[in-house]
Amino acid sequence: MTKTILIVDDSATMLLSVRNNLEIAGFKVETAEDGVKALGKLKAGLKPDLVITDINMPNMNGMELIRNIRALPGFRFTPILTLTTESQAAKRDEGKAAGATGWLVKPVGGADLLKIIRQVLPGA
Amino acid sequence: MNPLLDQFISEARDFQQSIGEKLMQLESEPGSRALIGELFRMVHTLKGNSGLFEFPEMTGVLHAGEDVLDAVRDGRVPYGRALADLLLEAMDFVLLLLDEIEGVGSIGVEHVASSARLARNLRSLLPAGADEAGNPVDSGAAASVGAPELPLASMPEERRMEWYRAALSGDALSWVEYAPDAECFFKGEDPLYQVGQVPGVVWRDVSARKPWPELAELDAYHCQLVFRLLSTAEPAALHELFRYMPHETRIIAISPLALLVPVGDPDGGAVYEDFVADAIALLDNGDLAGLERTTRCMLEFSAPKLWLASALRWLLLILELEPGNSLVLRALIESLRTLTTPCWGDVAAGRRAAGGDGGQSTADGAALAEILAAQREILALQDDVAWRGGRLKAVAATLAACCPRMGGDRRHDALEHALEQSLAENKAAPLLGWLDEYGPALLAGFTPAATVDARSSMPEPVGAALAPDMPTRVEGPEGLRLGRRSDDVPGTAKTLKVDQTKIDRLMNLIGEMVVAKNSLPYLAARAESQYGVRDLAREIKTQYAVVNRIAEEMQDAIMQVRMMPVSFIFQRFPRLVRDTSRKLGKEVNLVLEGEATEVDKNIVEALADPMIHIVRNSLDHGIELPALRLAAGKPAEGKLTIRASQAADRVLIEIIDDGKGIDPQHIKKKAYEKGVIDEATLERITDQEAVNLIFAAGFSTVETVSDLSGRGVGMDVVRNAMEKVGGTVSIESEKGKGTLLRLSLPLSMAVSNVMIVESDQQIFGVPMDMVVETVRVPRAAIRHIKQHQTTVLRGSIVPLLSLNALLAINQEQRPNEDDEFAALVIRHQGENIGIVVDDFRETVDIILKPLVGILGGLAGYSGSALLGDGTVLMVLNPRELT
Amino acid sequence: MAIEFQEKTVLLKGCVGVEEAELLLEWLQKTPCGQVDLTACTHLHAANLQVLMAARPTVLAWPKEAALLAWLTSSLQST
Repeated sequence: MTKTILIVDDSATMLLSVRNNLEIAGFKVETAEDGVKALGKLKAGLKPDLVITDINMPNMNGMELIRNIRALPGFRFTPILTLTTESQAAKRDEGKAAGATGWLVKPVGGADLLKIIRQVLPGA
Repeated sequence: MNPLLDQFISEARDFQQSIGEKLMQLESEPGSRALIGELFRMVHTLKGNSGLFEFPEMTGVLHAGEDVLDAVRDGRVPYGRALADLLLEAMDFVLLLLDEIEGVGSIGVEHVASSARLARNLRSLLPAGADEAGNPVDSGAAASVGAPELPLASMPEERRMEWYRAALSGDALSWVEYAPDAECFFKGEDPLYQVGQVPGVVWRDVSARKPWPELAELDAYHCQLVFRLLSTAEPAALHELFRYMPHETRIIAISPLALLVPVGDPDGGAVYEDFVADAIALLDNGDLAGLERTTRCMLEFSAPKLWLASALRWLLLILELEPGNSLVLRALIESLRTLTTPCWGDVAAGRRAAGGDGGQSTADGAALAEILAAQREILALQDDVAWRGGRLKAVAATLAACCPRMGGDRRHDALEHALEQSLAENKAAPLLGWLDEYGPALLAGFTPAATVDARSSMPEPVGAALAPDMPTRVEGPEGLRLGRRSDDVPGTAKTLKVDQTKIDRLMNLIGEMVVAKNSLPYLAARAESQYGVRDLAREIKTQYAVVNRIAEEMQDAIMQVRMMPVSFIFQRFPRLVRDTSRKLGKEVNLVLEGEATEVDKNIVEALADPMIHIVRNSLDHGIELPALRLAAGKPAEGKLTIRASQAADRVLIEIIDDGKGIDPQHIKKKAYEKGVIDEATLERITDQEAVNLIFAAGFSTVETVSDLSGRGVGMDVVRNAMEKVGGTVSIESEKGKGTLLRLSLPLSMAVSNVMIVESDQQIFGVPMDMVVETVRVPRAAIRHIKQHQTTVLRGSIVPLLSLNALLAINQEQRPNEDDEFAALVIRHQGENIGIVVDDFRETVDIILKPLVGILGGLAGYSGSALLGDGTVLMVLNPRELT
Repeated sequence: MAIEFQEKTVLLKGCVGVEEAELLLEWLQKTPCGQVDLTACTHLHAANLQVLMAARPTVLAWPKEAALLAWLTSSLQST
């Protein structure tokens, strides 16, 4: 089964980088530039196996997005990873409190990214 | 230059400029929290992006800027002129670096010093002491330091002896107790999957926090599980694995001595006293052989289930593995007096106090002091470099090596936690703290003289030697070369980044323009027929030609804006091919051609998935293993060509491999077995038709599911994806020679040519690329086969479907005066189908707009369009209808 | 489908996810003597594990996958 991953980040560079790495590894990748767009996609029927979201974004930030996702039917158990920088240690805990499964630390290289994804996504 | 870097530079320039603008805006609205927040976000993102590349000079400065802005945002630092100046200077520096990266592809070494200076100046604005404000050690860490009671004694003795043996040969042994949060399932966690990833598990147990309730009362999603395990992995690796749940996990490094717990029935006789006295005497005399003999003898006389027997077995094991460890031997023998496990903590301390058995000398002590001093020196470095994490790890590794490995030692655990904390906070303070706490004790293990030496040589001279070096180098002339606003740098923007919505608006406008223009011929016709003014009609027509030309050019120009080179997708393939072929043990030479071919952005995006799928297929099933290729007389290295080219208004993508090709016989057989074709078809179809069967739904040639292309996706998915964007896919293959897959797509999706048809007094559009032909079928030529209407066209039977019936309009189709029905022949899944309508009308160019909102869920329509006279045309999607 | 209910036996197959735990629990509540076949199971979400631990059904066949087998036997086989 191809696993679908939704990446939410307002930086096109980050989206492109993560997308390339994941697609090479055989994942199906969907992207959104902010929380509002991401939520829109989920409400429109997208059912990713994993969501990776940035924290600082315009319109709807990562924390709000996570809380909103958990409130959607069908997304109670979906793994969510936050994208944080090394200086955002506090945000990681805040993310977990909001319902995230874990976090990634930017910059995420290809091998690390896959390793971490496989740690939270059974069967990936 | 690689496209990712291109994208980064273009985005970074935007950020750099916006940051400058926001800083200027802040001059006029100094207190704006919104502006500060936005500034922080931009600097933060830019820093994150720069970290994707090796630009530590840029990342360092931006990181400092981010920290300062974060402090401003939290109100810890006031925003002021000095700060603005520094930030502007930092942004100019970033621009300078961007220019250099774009020019020569890298950052010159001369910028290292400027970067450090800028970062330091920025950080100097942070409140003093901010660096020291570390978090207290969290509860998870504290728990593992104070070694609690572990249920080790309840584990089988043989297993424990096995682990003891392994531990002495250098294996680590760690205890993990993981009690997931009750709500953890609602955070996407899977504790069983989590523990399944622990390497080297030698013992495991799962229990419930409290007794399970009645099944009727059980809440499946309230996690009650507690996992406990022993692993031969290092605690550091386990901390890493359980990093998301530090508060729910206890990880304890187990000292081998903790395994040494004799168990059994304490009942016995008073003979032990004699044995103990004899054994101690033998040990004191160094007669280990004698001790072993006595022990074996004693063991033979004891029932195996006795506590005594267990202790003797351990004694023999220690005699075998560590005959020199007299402290442990003695303690074990002494324990027979009380029949209780020795207090191993005290024994270990005694061993250390005795100076260890490794024979460390005063000279070692001096060397150790020097090593510790050097680590302190490294930790004291105040610079902020990207590789700081690596440096911290190196220091921790050195310090760990300095502690003689007495497994389970709390110093190691404390060190691990200090390192973890240091890494998390990116500060040296926690590691320095460890050094302060344990360093003196480490040195105390040696002669007092050495200790004094070491202490006095520790911090002061180090700092003094280091201090003068850095600032002098930093304030060099390159600091001045950095102009204030970089006005002297000529503008380098060659591309203009535009929001896609603006382009979409232009697209819509030109669409309306085309429609409006199309009304002119109607007007000309009316001028002539209704008003009889022929000259005016001709003039309108002339004007129409002019407007038409301009509109078409304009449309073309706008399309051009949306065009992107296919290299955008092609760039993924070198890596994909390299990784995939390596995994499969194949040798593949990838040739990319026509990367500059430009197509509409939407088309480029639609191409990515199908292409990746096809390329994977080629590598997996097309190109053979090197040995097979050589045997077939081909070069060992396979060739995979991906070629893009433009043919009229289509773009062609060809993916060609010189692999084993497709065997039509094999396909026929498979298709028959899977019920894709019946027996009659099996006899009849040509080889090419057989090869085409791979596009049929439910057909996948994969026999053994590999982890590459065998993911349940067949070529029918590729075909569907292509059809969705008006493309087609075809295949040519010769057995043994190779396979060519050709994707053909429209260059742009914006303008479609549709034929207007009439049915039940309404008009509908049908995309021309689906229409094979239009025919008039006399009523007499319609045959009824079972429930279906058919007719014969050029010798083959074509099923006829009524459009009214397809659209659930309860009305017969209307024939013309000659009693002929109008049938639109379309190609559907390789077969011709006739759709009967009331009448055909003209074909028009339209701008197709997809249906949105509630209408978006309607199957059977591909969209709507506006016609020249203002009416709305619903465009059918016959593929979904039939 | 990762979970297949037969009259007296439930088959858990492939990667059994968290959503299935609810179905499994319901079935075990309705089928007190239900038996479990794990032959084709490659992974089991922890929620399913705790349902099985609480219900203690007879396990007809264990999974082939070594790590999963080790965890399941140590949680479901002892006494």
